[in-house]
Amino acid sequence: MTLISIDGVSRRFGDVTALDSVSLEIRQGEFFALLGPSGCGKTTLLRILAGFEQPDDGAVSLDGEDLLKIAPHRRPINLMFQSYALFPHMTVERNIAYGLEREKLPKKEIRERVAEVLETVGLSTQARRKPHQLSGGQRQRVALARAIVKRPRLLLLDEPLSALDKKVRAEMQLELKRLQHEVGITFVVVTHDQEEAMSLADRIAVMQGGKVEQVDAPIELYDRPRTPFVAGFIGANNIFSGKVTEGGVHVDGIGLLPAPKGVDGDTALLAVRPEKVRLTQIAPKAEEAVEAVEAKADAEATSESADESKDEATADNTDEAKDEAKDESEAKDEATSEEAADAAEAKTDAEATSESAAETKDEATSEEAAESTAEAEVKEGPVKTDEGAEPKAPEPVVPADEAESAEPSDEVQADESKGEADAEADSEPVAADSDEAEPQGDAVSEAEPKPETEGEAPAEAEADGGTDLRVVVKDAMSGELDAEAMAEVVSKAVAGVVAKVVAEVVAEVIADNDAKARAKTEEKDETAPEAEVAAETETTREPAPETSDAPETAPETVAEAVPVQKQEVVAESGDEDKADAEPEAESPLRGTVVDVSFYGGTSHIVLRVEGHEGHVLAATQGSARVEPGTEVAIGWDAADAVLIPA
Amino acid sequence: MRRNRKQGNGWLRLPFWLTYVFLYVPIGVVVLMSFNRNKSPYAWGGFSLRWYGQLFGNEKIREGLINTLIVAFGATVLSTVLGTLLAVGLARYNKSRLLDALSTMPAILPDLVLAIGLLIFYAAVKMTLGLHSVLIAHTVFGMAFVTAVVRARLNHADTSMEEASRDLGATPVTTFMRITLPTLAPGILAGALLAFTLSIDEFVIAFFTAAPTQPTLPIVIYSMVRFGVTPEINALATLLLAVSFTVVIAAQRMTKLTEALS
Repeated sequence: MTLISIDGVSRRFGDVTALDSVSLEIRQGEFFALLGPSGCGKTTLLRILAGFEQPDDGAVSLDGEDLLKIAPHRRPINLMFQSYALFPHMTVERNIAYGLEREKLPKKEIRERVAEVLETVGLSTQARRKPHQLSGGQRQRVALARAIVKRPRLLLLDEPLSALDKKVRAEMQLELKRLQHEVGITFVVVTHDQEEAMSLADRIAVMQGGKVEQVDAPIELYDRPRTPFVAGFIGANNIFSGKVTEGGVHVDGIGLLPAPKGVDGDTALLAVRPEKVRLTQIAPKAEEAVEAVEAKADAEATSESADESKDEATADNTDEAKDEAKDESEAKDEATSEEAADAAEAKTDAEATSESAAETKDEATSEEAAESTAEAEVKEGPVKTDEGAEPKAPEPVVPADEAESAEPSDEVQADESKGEADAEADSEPVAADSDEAEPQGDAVSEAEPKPETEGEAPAEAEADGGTDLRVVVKDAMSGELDAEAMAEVVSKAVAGVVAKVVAEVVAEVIADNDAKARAKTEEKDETAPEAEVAAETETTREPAPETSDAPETAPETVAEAVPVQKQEVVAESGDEDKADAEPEAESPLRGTVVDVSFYGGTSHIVLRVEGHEGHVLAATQGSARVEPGTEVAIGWDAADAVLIPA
Repeated sequence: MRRNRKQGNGWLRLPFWLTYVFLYVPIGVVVLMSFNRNKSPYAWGGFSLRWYGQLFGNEKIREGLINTLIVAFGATVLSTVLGTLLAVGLARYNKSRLLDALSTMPAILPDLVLAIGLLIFYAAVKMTLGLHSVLIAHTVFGMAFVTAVVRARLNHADTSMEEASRDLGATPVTTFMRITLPTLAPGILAGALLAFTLSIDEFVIAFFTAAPTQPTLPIVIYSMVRFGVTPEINALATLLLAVSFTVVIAAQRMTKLTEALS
């Protein structure tokens, strides 16, 4: 239901057009945001709603009634000022009561309502204080209380959080949202801070130069910007300008970039979010490539489960050294078997979380998986198949679930892994028994996968990793490593196992693969065609690990975060799709890593691209293993890019 | 702070202190002499309050003091009210810089010009001279000071407070009374005290616009001094000094107090 209807409102100050025929509908009960850079007219619009400004043109109605005819003090609208505008000579209580006193309400009712609202904002104990005795956050609450105590139809908030420091701001954001729910008043917030708008609002109107660019829910704004300004303003974006053609967008000086379908021949902007950008290292050294790929893939896949398994292990064993050693070995087992199980299904949650890992891992894992399934059938057929089925079903997206779901299978996995990853898995249980020798033994066993693998498997990926690992593991034992690092260690160890397993079972894999691919195809509806392709590519690729294990196609996919909406889709379908839809094949973009920084749990990679002005940004969850100076191919899925008509 | 003091050029301290001596020695002498038992200002005859006694016995001076207080209080009230309104009006509705500048003109104009102008004006409108004419004259220049001070305060004031009041349902009048005035209080108070102290010892304008039968205190003093400075005058000056100091200190205290509230 529309509460406020703004129709063709314009406002000019001298030569400056603050508002240029703005039309908006604000619905009853929603949290609406006016977002834009300073000077975009958002505050003018707010002041028109409050009544402190009259538009030159246009109409504003509230519930169908002409709002512009009503004097500001008669409007059922309240404004929370950016400066809060608390009355300095009145106590908190009097400040809040001021609006009610103007309504000539009985004293008793005023007192009750003031007390009630003070309770709501948590300031009951400060009622007798003067504003200057309060902190910034408290003042903000008083301002808010003063506005909502009037029970307006519409509450306007002018940059409500800008005067607060970062920590308080985050708190107040939650508070605002809660309050809005609680009081059920329609909120309109004006802000230049997109984070604030995105986190608070149900719908956002992005404004620029006095015009409304786009009105949409936060996710829509992010995923489907409709104007170039929105694409550049909301979040980070890589924007290319070119001509729409059959196969993508043709950009002068670069070439054809993957893009969704558009009208042929149009000029358009192509916007790609950093987290959708994939990087593939060009012509890496063979072993390194494999190692990197696998290590990473596994790291992402296993880190959570590794952590968990550690915990369990600790619980069971009192001997610390033993614990850790065992942890890792367990983690390893778990990881492998887990992967196996998952892979049998098609995907892990781990993969869901790190889809980037997925492709690379797929190669490694899928074989393994295939193998494990194969073995499962042969050996403990019923048991395993069950398990394999389990994890996948409950394993939606969340790592936590995954971790849990992984647990039950642990024991069984132990068996499995014994069965599968013979040498290693076996060595662990044994080690577990032989106390003192163990810590080292285990440590070795973890670290060893590499040496071992080297010996046995063609994938000597861990050659360097092994030495690193020893150090890391030692550190870990001496308690100098945190959980994350541990996870990494474990993951590397797992990589070793994977490599070995891969090597062992290649033959079986090839056979299984076709079957598996078919299974997957069934699973995936939309991606069905691609899945087939994937199946093919898999088959073609699988031999590779055997022979060299470092095909130039073993891509180190650095960037690929979880997209907001399509997690599952990507998690399931994306893996293989991407694996074959490798950037190199499709994208002509080549770049050099200029800078890599890590913050907010994400690695931000800055790239310089020939033929493109400015930089290309890529982002990946967790740590990205690229060095500045690395040459990479840059790509993305056509579906992940947004085409904006210029 | 301390370091700065040490680093200061030593020779600059001399003129600094000399200036203070120059400023306050005459005042100190007046105060000292008001307690001198001797009539002659050249010899100290011991401490005495004799001249204060004589001062209060002096009919003329008492009369002058009462006249001055009437004028000062009246002019202060009028100039405060009018000056505040003028300041608010200028701040809210005026866009002309000329009007702005003109509002504070009386404070800058030479007193003599203002005095002569007023005298001619009174004559033109055929107004009799008396305390009322002095009061009006003092209101004119007092208002200029009040306006200047309140204006300054208004420039700092946050207009969003008044908007907030409107937003919360207050009419413009209620907003002015409940929000605008209280926030301007420190400025208004400072302006009022300024107008009061200026009026008390104003001589030139009062001299031109007062009726000969109702002289204000400065005029009385002037007529006495014409025949030589008596110790009585010293006592009076000391008292005036005490009043001024008190008022100034009170003003400072009060502005601090009200400022603390905002």
